[in-house]
Amino acid sequence: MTSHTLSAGGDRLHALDAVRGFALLLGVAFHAALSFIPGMPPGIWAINDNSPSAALGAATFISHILRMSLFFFVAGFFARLLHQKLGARGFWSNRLKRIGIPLVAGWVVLFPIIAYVWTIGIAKTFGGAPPPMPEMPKVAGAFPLTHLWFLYLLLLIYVAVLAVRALLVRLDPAQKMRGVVDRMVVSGTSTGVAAFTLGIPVAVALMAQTFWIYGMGIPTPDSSLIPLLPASVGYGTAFVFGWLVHRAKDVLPVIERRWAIHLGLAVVATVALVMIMGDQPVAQPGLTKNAFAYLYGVAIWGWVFGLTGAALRFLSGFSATRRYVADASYWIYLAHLPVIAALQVWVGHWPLHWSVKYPLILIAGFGILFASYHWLVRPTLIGQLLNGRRVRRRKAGAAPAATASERTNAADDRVTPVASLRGVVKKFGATTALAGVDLDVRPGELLAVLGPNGAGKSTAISLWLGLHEPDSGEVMLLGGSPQDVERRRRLGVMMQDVDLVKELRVRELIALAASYYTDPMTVEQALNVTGIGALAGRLYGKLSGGQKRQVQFALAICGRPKLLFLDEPTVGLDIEAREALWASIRALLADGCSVVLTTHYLEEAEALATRVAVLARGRVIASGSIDDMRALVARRQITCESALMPADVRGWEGVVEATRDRGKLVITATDAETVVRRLLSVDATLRRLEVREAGLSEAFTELTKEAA
Amino acid sequence: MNAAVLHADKIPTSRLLGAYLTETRCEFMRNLRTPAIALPVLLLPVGLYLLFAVLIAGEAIVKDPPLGIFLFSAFAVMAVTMPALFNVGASLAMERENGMLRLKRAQPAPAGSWLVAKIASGLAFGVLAYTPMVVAAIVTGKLPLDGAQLAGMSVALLLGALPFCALGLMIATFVSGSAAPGYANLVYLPGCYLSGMFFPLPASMHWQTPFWPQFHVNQLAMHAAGVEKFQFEPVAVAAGALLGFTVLFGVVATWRLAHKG
Repeated sequence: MTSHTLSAGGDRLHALDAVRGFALLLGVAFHAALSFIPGMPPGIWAINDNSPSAALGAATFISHILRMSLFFFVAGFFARLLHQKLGARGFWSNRLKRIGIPLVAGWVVLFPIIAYVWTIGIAKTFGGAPPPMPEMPKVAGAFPLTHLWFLYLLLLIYVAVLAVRALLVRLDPAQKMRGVVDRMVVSGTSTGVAAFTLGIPVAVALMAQTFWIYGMGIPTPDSSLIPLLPASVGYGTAFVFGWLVHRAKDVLPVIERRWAIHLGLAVVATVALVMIMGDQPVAQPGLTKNAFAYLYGVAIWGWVFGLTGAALRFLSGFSATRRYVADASYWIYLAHLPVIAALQVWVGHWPLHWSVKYPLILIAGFGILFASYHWLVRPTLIGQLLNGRRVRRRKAGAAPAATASERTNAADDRVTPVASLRGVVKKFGATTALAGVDLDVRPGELLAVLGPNGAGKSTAISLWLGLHEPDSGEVMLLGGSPQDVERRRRLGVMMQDVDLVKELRVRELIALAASYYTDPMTVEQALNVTGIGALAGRLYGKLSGGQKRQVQFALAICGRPKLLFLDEPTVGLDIEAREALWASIRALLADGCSVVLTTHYLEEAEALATRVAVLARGRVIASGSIDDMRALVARRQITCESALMPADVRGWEGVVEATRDRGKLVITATDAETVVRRLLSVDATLRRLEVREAGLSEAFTELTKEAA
Repeated sequence: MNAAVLHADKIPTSRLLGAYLTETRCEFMRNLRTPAIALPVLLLPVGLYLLFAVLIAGEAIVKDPPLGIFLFSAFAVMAVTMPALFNVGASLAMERENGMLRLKRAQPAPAGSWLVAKIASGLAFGVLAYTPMVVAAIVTGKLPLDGAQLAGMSVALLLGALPFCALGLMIATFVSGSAAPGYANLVYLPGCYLSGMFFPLPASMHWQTPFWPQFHVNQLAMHAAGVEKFQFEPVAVAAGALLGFTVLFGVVATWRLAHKG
């Protein structure tokens, strides 16, 4: 149901994953045996096989004792783990996806198929003249849940347990009560008392049954939305104890140590149960019934502890096969019933012994189910839904680096900016996207905003576009708030990671965008200005990545904007298209339009920008003209072919960094002349010496490194 | 950068109307060009209606004319509600996922134009799916209603599509674009079975029918057509329930959009 190999102590969780997978697959084998049970009244199961088997009858009885309790025990353990990891909201969202959706979707798909298989099987059982189908019982909540009842009950138990938990958190803020419970869980398991006491609630519920066939064990609550008492009590106890075992932390090693004793206890209790049942299959009020009920409870917990302990003891390591089977088991259990029943119906009247037919059903059934998992589920959306992704742990919120020196260019501050951020702080949850940013865009200039991923570039733009509001500080756009739609009508915008409607033609997209503005270009004008006339009739979805960017650019400028935001505009463009786009941008600038450009291509900033601002970790770490930026980092790069190794020169005065790149020694230096003199004196064989100004790229790398 | 400049940027009403119309036309074209949506939505209801009401149950309807109206109503509910739910839900979820909604807001599209466009387009698709059913029913003579009754029923059905528009919006605010049709089916299909719209349910399952909007749309249609045999709740309750669903879904969707975008 989930990948639970996500926390410390993951080894133990592999074992519990295996236990849960075992419980579910055992359920498949259990249902596959039901057509072979001697004395089963016809019409209840899909078919009664013509070769009944007492051995399979006993096997179903035993597996029914343990499989669902085992499942709910592990479910309780994982539920608390998940609740701890994700919190209440995350827990519910996860559970509705993994349990709620499979319940509803599974029922809608499976119920008609199961009903169909049953109709055929029952017709076969009664030789073509079946009795009328029994009506649903006329009680409120009657509903044919089928084998998916366990998901429904699980959801109800989640609700109940979380409600009780919420209450306890209030009543017991100091965890005193819960501390006592934890100690009881530990001591109860280590002294062996747990196996004898945990069965009492379900035993009492079973004793209260007025009509009880022993072979049914805990009656299956599959025909009503109001769950039956023994199932709710029995499986609820298992779930709650699983939850408590996760809470108490040190219980799993105890369960592991005592695996053999518990399995022994389970076997003894089970043998006693089978013997009682052999004498008297239907419960009569009295001592025997009460003894049977109590022994049943003991057997449940003997098996639950024994099997869980054995898994912890022997299956704790990671195994790819076990993991695969554990992942597959959920789907297989959900989907198995019609497949298994259909196979039972098919072979039901074959003149063969059950010892041939039962394995045949299992082999064919598991074959079909595993194949369907492998091809139809594991690689698809269903698999993602059922098995989930690893729940990633939240990264601690990146604290803003306060060490970075803020360098703002004071020149030209007299000009009224067309857009500005003043002391803007913006947080998303625990992450600070902008930590006090000041930025100006002046009339007619192109401001290039540079910075590594996550530096806050896109957040800054989204504030200007009115998509977010700052937590503090002031955002100004064309003299006012960007929240006013009238102001935004004077913007053009080209966003990153935006896909337009694939089914619309380029002409239609431009017409739609143009319809938003007061005085837009005509479609033809926009097509011509951006040079994409040839694409006008094409569907957007059929365009190449570069062509899409060109269309987005046309949408950005079709409203004749005063201020244009371009977020990574030339990604995916070929050189020719990029040059054309640059030319368009220069023409817009010449017309007095201001542009804010974010880019990863430094040559793009060098080619177009009037000013550059570098963002890192939510702060402006530098801003100024291209030349200012270069001067800011007055470092030069020395390249040569030399016998010297980087390690030899790293300690030299004036050397910032030395590396080797394609056989050449590459040195970044603050004092290039001194370093070159020393290089030549030390290495007489030195060749191909080259010294150059650091480009924007180096300046940029240097700056962001300092900020880090 | 002052009030005068801003005033000049006020968009004239005619252009504003034009923006709404263009948006609606684009939304409609887009749905029409998405075969995965257009084909099932347009062909399934009329196809199933012909199969079940005309071929399979044709004889029975001759004997019991209200049955003809019952079957017609069932598939007509499907015809109008499916596009309302799927066109609106799937396209909004996709737009949220690929950033279109953010872009539209920044561009700046008139507030709510996308919403009007989606609802109008969903309803128009409903009419497109519903019309051939009416033609088929009249041609085959399987719908014993007079003109006024048929008109009343058609209006009831179209109004009944609105809560499904709202449901589509709500679903779209919770799930990703690729998952939206799946989740929409998930809430839609059980409702078709469990509302008793297609076949009468055993009495023990009646308690849960009011939870499905389909049930109330169907009831509204039954009242409009005057088929007393299949009226299980007063007309005011049906209308009230549909209004309630619309408000509920709409409020949740609005809340989610405001908080998650």
